[in-house]
Amino acid sequence: MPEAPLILIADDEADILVVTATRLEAAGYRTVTAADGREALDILRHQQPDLVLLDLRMPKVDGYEFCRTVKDDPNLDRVPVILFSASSSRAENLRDKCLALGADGYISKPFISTELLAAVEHALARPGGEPR
Amino acid sequence: MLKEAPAGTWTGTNPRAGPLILLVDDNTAFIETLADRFEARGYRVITARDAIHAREAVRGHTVEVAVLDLTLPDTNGLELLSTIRARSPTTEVIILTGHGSVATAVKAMSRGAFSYVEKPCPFERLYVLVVRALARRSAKMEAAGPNDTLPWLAYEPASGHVTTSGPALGRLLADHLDRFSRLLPDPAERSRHLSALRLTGHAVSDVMRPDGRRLRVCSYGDESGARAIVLDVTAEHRHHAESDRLRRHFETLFENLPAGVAIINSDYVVTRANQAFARCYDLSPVEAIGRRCHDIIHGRATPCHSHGEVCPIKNSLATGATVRVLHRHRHADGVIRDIEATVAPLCDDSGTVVSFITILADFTAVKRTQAESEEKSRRLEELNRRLREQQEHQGRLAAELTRRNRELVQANTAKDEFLSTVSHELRTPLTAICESINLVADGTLGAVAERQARFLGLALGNTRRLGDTINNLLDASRLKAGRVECRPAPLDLAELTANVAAGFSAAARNKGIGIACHRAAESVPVFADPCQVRRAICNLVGNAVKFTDRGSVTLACRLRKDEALISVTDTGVGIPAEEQVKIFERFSQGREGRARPHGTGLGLPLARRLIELNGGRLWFESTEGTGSSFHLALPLDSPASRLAWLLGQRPPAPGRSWLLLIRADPGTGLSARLDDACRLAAEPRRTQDTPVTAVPGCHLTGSVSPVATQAVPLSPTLALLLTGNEEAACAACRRVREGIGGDDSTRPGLRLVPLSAGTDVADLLAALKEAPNA
Repeated sequence: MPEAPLILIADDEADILVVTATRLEAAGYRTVTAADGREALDILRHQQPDLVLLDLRMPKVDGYEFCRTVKDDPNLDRVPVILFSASSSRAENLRDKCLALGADGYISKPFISTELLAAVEHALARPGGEPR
Repeated sequence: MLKEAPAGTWTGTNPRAGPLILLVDDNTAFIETLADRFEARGYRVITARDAIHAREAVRGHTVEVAVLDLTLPDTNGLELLSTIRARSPTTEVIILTGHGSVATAVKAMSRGAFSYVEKPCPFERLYVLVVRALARRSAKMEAAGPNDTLPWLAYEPASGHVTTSGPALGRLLADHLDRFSRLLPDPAERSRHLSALRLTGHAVSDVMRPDGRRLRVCSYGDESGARAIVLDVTAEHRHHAESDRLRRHFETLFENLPAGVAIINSDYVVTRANQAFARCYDLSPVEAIGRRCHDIIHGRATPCHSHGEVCPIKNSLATGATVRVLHRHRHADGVIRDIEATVAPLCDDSGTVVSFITILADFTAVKRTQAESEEKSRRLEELNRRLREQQEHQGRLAAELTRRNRELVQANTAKDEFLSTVSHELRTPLTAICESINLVADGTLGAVAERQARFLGLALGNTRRLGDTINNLLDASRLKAGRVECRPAPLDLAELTANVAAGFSAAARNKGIGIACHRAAESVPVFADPCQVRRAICNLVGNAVKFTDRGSVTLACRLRKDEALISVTDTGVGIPAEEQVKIFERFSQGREGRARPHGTGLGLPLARRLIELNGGRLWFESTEGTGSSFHLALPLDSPASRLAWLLGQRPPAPGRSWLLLIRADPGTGLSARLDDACRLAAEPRRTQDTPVTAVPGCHLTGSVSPVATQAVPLSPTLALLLTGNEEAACAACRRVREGIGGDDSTRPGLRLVPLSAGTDVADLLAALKEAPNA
């Protein structure tokens, strides 16, 4: 039986990390968390997660920079990335921006668990996103 | 020339011309005037102002007649007379005497003077004396021997027979004269001449010779015998004619001058006045003559200088020069005017100032113009000053406006940032709360008792309501600012509807009502903004759940013709008829005081606006106490709706044939235009990045009726009939041709493009590019 997919969750809100990780683990995924973008990049390089869930607004390295870094690195660019944000002011613009950055999904906060799980499933089903 | 010539010398222009006369007087001006007049009559003149010069003149020349003043600076006239008589016995002397010196004159006559004349005397009188003196001299000379110098003759007045004549006459006439009538051919003039001779002893007649010369015949004698001398007076006559002409010119000038001109004597009496002068004082020129100037001009009985004012006449008299003064004159119209009076002295023959020519120039208008011009420039200055002030004021206003504008922009940015921060700060905890409750409520973290689950459900429902309220408020504020852009993308409406229904299941369960979703089709593809459509549906479902306490909320998603249709039906309180008209107005939420849940009242207006932005419609039916049905229609994802988006237009009504009209403007090839559209269509993500803007020169109409076609403000180069209804295509084609009109040569290319729901818009555009006219 193959190992459950490993999902990296990065958010500077510890509460969000806890509930998201709990939800994903309850759905059968393995999770690893990071409190900022730089830590997330570290984990991405060393633990090779199958999916990254990333908050746009983070200290040190934010979601945009994270996406750009991943895209520019041929070793990393196959990992699917889902961005989420609580910023509503230009929700549509943010979605477009994220997709333009090469993200595989975008969820706006507050999200509900069904949305989250659907987006994760969809991203993992992507041909490039299959577990290695 | 005369004035500068030294006394006792020749002053005539032609030394050989006429008789030579000597004028002696110490009044230089007087003798110069006399000399002028004698010279004008053909005489040669020597002038002398004292005895010394007179004696020199007599010594050096053969003076024929001398005119002596008896009072001379260096000697008296009698002595000089004796001297002249001694030195030049043939010289005839005429004495000029002052008033009351007749005795002296008689003494002079006894010493051999020819005659005397009292000063002042008219020139003509002196002239006649001179002529007579010349005649006597020539007679004496004749008696003494032949006289060659004067043209003279002796004749018998009764018979008219010429007895003798001097050789000079023959030279003058170039003829031998035997009868007096040949000298004076006009019988009337001759008769007048002879009768004057008979009566006075002398007579003078002018006669014009056939050669054009004018001769003057001066006779003296009596009926028994007369002598005459003949003088050539052609020059004098010409001089007279010239003087006459000048006088007439002067008269004309004088009368017609616009300036008032008057001649005023030294006694302030007006002796002449022109029309302009008289008119000023409402007089005729004749009426002005004889009145005093101060009376006419100032209405005063005494001259101006007696009133302490400048009198130009007095000044001119004193200085002998021209005087110019500025006077205030009262004219007949009562207006006081500023007059410049120029007064120039006029002299008589003796050089004495006897009168003044006075010229009045009206400077009132000039002064007024000057004053007006000063006033105008003062006003202009004032206007300029005000304009400058206004400009400065406007400059300050503009600066203030710029400053406020900057502040507003800053405030707006701050507001945006604030909203963004607030929403972020609200949503993040909401997410954590929601997910925490969810994790407990759905049993992930262990079994939950039914009562516990009920309250967790309440918490979850209200948390979501809070989230929706925040979103609605933010969206409404953005819609109001016109900052919401529609970014359509391919979207499965059936899936979206199911997701929304699932999201509300907990809330419905907590209220004890059912929620169901009927999917009539596996997939309902639309081309719309997913966020906006989701928000609209959420608002409808949220409302339904909120206002329903019993029964259920049912969502249905289905295809109807070319539309996607979603219905949200509830069994709730319904909307009273009187409130139905305004539920789409912002912040409207039923009437107050009714026992029903509250909200912002923004949900329905927002939903409708968002759906309309996406080319759809939102409507409802409701019965109070029974429930409501809200319906939402969106155009299906079809070539038509995508094309409409690309062209910046509303998607045409579903289920109909529609017409794409394209005009290829010069410089904008149809091909290039379609290229852009193709590129947009081929890259859905790019489509979302690019705001939908109108493509000029393209128009999509949802109807092919002639009226609709003609209403299109476009002269199309290419008309494309896009229809999914193949059977109706031919009829539609015909209607389009009728609608566009024109004959075969001007009719635009019309192509029929069959459409189906599956037609790819990129393929369609590529096909359009290959149209013959493209």
